[in-house]
Amino acid sequence: MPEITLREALKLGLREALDCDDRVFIMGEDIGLFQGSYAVTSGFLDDYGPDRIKDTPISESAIVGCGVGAAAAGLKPIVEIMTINFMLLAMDQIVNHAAKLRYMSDGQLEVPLVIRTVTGGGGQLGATHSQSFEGWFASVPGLYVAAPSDPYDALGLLRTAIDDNNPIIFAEHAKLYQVRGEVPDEYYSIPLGKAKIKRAGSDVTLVAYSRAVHTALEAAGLLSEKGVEAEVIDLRTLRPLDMNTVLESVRNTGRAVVIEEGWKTGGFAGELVSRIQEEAFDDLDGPVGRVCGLDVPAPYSGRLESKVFPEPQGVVNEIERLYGL
Amino acid sequence: MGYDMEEGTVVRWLVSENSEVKTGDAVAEIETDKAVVELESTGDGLLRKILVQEGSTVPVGQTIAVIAEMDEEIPEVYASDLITPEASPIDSVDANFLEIEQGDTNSSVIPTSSAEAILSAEVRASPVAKKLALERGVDLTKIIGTGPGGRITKDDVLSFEATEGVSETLEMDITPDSELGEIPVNRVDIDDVEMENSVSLNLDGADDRVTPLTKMRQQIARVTSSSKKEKPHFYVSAEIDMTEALGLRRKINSDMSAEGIKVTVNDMVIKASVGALSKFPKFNSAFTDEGIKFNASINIGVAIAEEEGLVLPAILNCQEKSLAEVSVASKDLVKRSQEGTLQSHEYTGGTFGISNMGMFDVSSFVAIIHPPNTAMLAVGRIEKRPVVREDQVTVADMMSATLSVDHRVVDGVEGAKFIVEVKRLLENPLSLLV
Amino acid sequence: MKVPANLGKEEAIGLYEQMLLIRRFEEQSDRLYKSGKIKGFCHLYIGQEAIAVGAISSLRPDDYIITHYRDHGHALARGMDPKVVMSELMGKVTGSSRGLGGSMHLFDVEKRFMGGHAIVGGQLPLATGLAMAIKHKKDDQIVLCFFGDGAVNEGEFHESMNLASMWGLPVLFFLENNLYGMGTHVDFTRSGGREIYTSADAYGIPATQVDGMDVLAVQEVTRQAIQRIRTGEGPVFVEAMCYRFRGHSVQDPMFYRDKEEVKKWEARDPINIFEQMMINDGILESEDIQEVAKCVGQAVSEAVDFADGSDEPGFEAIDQNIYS
Repeated sequence: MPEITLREALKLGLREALDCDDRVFIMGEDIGLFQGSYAVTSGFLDDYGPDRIKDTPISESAIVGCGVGAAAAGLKPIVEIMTINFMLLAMDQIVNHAAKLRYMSDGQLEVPLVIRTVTGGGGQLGATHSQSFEGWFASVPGLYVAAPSDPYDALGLLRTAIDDNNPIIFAEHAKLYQVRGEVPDEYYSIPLGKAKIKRAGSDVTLVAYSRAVHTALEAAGLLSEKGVEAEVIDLRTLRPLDMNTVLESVRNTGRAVVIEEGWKTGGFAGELVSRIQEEAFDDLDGPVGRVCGLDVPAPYSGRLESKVFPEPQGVVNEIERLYGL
Repeated sequence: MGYDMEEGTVVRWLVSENSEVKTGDAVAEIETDKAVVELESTGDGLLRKILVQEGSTVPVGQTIAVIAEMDEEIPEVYASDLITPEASPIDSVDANFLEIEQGDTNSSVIPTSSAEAILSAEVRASPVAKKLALERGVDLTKIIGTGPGGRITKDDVLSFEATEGVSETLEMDITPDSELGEIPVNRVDIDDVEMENSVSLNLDGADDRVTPLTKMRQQIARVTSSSKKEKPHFYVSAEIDMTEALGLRRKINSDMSAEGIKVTVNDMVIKASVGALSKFPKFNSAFTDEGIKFNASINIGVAIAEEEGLVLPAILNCQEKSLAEVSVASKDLVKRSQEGTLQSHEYTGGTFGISNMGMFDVSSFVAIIHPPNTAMLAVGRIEKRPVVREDQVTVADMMSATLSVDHRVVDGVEGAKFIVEVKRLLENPLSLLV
Repeated sequence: MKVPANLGKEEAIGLYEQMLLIRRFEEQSDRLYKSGKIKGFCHLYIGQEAIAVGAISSLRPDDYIITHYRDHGHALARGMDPKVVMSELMGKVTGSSRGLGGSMHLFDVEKRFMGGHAIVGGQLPLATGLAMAIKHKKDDQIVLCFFGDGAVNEGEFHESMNLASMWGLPVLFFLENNLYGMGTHVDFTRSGGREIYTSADAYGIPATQVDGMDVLAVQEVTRQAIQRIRTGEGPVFVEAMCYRFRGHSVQDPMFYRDKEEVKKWEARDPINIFEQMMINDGILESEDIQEVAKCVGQAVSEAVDFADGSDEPGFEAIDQNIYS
């Protein structure tokens, strides 16, 4: 199996969709001539032309709304919002429109829309450019949210996202584009709402998605040195949410810590903690923990920023604090 | 029950209504701050009425059941439905009413204490530990939690199941005897139970994190600090030559091994203390606002370190016991302490305390008097030391003992006399057999 | 506006009947709201009938309409069954969205009626998307997008105007300027003056203003706009000046305007104006008027009876159609 980067996996998936389905087009800021701010669409304009690869004004609400309208009229738009921070400018279109049209029209309309965006921090981009809002979107009925952690999942989930007839936020972590992984030549896809066990273990369950999966895996390595074997679960999609895999693991380990880059207060990790204790209370051997982003706006200073996002040692420390392991 | 206990929880009724009970029969399990203990009937008759439901927590002094003769009329108030914990206690009626009592020594004066209310002991266990315990019939109150804050974890339940009976094994593993002074520090003896547990406890807190206080820790903190605050302690020490005592012990253990008797040094210290207490009964008393209360029986409290903390259950009526009986009672006490089957009056009935760190490499230490006692004896290890005997330097098995005394009750001279008497008895050990 | 020479009787009756249907339907909605049969918000279209009827009557059946929350008039003008619309208002299973949408969210996708949208300005970006799909498919439909004067200060208005113009999208931006965004007069909300259509200049979109109380004028302007859009020349902007005779919603006590102002506008009632013109020009007789009134009355009455007699949706509907 060839080993490619997550960026290359996304390019593969996008090209495939553009090649196979005339209804598919991509629009977003600087995706064409600029070649994509994270270079995911580099080369696309030359290959597919301006009718399929549409550079837009910096106009997030119009971009997303246009995508929603085009989807409602039968196209399969893939919209790129440069970063998830800018999604705030399109919240009305995402939450009030994309997520609602099917329901309010009782199924007369559908919105097969993919909104690709870049999430996460760690690049010293400061408070407005380092946020993780995918958890917010996951709370909205009518939206799906995917957040892959490796190239295999990125391609498999993107294929499903494009084929699906629902609006989906496809959150790509800025720090994961260069992550390499094996991706088979044969066609495959990954269903939404199916978590993946990235590492088996029987002492504690670590639940994460996107970049935090890597944090969890590193933490699992440190824990293993202490004789603690962690099971690492990559949610892959926040909505639909695969609680079965999580609960099955927690029932076995009796301990769970959720790792999320977003803020702790009101974050998605809290949702997971709630569900775990609701459904697996009697199997718990201690409180369900969270290791989240610090509740501060991300500082620019690299020294300070290094304290903001979850680190493997922080996960290890939390496990020791909660369970004495 | 506990001297500063203010309420207790009825865990389980052991006798159903209209069953016959005799004085001393266990009728209920009461959960105190320290353990679940059995409440004994204070009279003969039928358990006519249970007034407090299982699981209810009631203040000390509340009537929880009525024991009376079959035809004896019991007041209507008791004949009615179960009393809820909120109901106010009722004072005197003409039948035997079981109460949760304060103190249980053979005394008429109830010690005063302003200690704050003690919450009924609650088991702090993880959900899965509770589930597992329920499934396997494990009593969580007997398990010491190793999780943060003393939480009983799943592993604790599993390892408790796997190692249940370890305390008995410890006793059977006792090495018959060995050369004095060559006892390895890690040798397992009945006295070691305290040591081993203490070691593991002391390892706690190596880092600077804060762990919440367990119920027992809170209790110990309360008791020791109130003792130090209220009781002006003074201390007297003595060096005791244990050479003869050890020789006697060897002989007894060798002669009586068939009967399963194995006397420990601590048993001898207990017996010697009983002798001194008989001679100086002030040391077997308690200071109260009303006056010095002399206890009729000598109940020696023995410091036992359980994993969660120190307890001081007592061997009751030591004045009636021979050395061999003391030895048997002492082993039984440790065993039942570990099992958690001690009764409330054993926890609270001590009239004099002994703390023995003989199995550590500790020469001497001083103890905090366990209220409401007047004195507490602290003994260190026996070690070979050069001593002068008849102008000759010779080697003897020496042991240091320090007595802590409540100055409100006795003065220094009396303290000196007391410890010298202990010393005399141990250095002339045949007197312990009289 | 003069009556065009080619206006036939049948067409005149059609326009009149649609306007009167909207009027009577809304009057009935008002009563039903006050009697508790319609819940939530209910925004009446009374006074603006000439716009919905004039503009929508100019469309082909395959053109798209997308509109704001004051959408009953547009829905009826597009030919949605009054029974279905009334049922939706009353939250019944026979409603256009089985009672899931409500008054502000009427949809009939078969009739290319792409919804009433209740977030002010929210439908404008959607209109660009519908238009983009048309362009992508190289079709010649247009998108008629209604919005009110309240929407023109939303970013979505400006973003959509810009995008549509930039990409030459087939959108007719149709502003119904009834002078009030809820209770605030346009004089207090727009810096550029009452003639909002001039803001289209900023985006290079041809724009015009029309008397929204004159159905024939609206129809004529719309026809011209559509003709231009269909030839692929990009969006057009029309501002129709009009007046909302009733409050913002049924609950509105209208503290913010005096009765004289309302009376002044009521004197220009679009239905009366059209009726007078038709009689004066001899296109319609008073019998025709009576006949239409009778038909409309019957249709509204049947719609109410139908909706009233329909069931509420079953609980199975509660989580259907959130996802495909």
